[in-house]
Amino acid sequence: MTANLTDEQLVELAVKENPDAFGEIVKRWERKIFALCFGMLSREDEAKDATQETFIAAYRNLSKFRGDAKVSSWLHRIAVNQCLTTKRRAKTRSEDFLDDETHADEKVFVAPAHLTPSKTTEQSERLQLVRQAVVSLPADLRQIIVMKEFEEMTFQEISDTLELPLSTVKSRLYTALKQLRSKLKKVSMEIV
Amino acid sequence: MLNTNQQNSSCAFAEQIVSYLYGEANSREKTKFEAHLKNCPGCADELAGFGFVRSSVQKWHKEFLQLETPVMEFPLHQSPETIVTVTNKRSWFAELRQLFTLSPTWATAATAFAVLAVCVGLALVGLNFINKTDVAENKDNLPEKSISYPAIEKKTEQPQEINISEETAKQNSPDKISKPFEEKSEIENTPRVAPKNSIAKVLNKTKRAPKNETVAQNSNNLKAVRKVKDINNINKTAVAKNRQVPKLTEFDEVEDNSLRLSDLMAEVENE
Repeated sequence: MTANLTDEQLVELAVKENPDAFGEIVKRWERKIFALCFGMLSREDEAKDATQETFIAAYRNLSKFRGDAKVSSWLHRIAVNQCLTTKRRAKTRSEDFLDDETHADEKVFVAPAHLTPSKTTEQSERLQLVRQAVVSLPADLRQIIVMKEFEEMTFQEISDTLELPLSTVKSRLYTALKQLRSKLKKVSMEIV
Repeated sequence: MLNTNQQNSSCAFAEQIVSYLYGEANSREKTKFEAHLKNCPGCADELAGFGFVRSSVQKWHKEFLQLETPVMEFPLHQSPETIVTVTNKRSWFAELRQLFTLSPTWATAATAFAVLAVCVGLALVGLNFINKTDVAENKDNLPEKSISYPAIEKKTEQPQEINISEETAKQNSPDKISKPFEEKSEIENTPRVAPKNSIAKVLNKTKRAPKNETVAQNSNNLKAVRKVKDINNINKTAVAKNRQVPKLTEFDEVEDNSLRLSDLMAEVENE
């Protein structure tokens, strides 16, 4: 019954303490939110925790949900804030996260010369460098890349979700790709 | 917030690159951009570079596709207010990692304490081992000292035996009888030395005596041997007492010699 309803209708039902309605929202969005968190954090365990905390936060704040915004926008905003909180918490714990927003432009991920004993190792290292490069992007650019590549959303869907003009979404994606290219440039020169 | 317009390429088709790259350009835009690419090496280069970046990110995306979606663990039947405590619930792995990454100072202190504890433990074990070694060495020395007492007792029982054997030896080979007396005195002075050349040895010498002896000498020998036999029984009881000593010492050799005396007895009786 709840499967035919829109997200906004489900939230209205959930506010009236219908647990099935919010369960349907979770079912619809958990994979996309998990993809977003994984792309933002690049760690599976933290992405799982962030996904769960995103839905818990949404459930706790159901009454504060404004009907004029989209549920997807609302969930994405909560998820991005949760990821930023997680990264901030990780930094205070002195974990070896890359600084994603400070000196991001200066960072160049160069594959060390000793990492070329075999093709498998090269691929693994290359994947690691790509991951680090994406995580080191500014949060707004990183979110666009992750929504496009991991959530496989169209520009229009991203625009609707983030409530941004379509041209802004394209510009941000262009900038993100350009920064990633410069970060991975030397890597591609050594590997390709 | 980043001003993306300032970072765009100077080319007017910059934004259309991403639409073309992701296949979201309509047919009119696509045709127009492909025509532009032939005359703009900068856009062509960027398109190739973006294609490489996109393929790299897609490989990472493939890794994500293998992951399972996490199962949400919060009770929907509860009201949102009561679910506050669940929010703080973290996975055990995250808790464990947080425990060890919470404070480098704490970790350093714990490591130092562990190393100190191990060192103290090793030192205690080493001391214990040294003490045990000393005790073992003392134990090795003690039995010899304690055994000296029964040896002395045995010697006190033996004078008769020695005298008898002396008489016998005088009749058989007078030149050889002084040796047991000398050895006896040595034994008394040095109780640890076992009486290797005791009465049994003397009797062995009598065993090798020449066979052309007179009958009187034989009768004297028989009497002496009977007395020796009695004393031998006393020696056996003494040896049995000595057997109770935990460590096997040279006194057992006395018992072996006394066994040879029985052979002598058999030989004499046969004669």
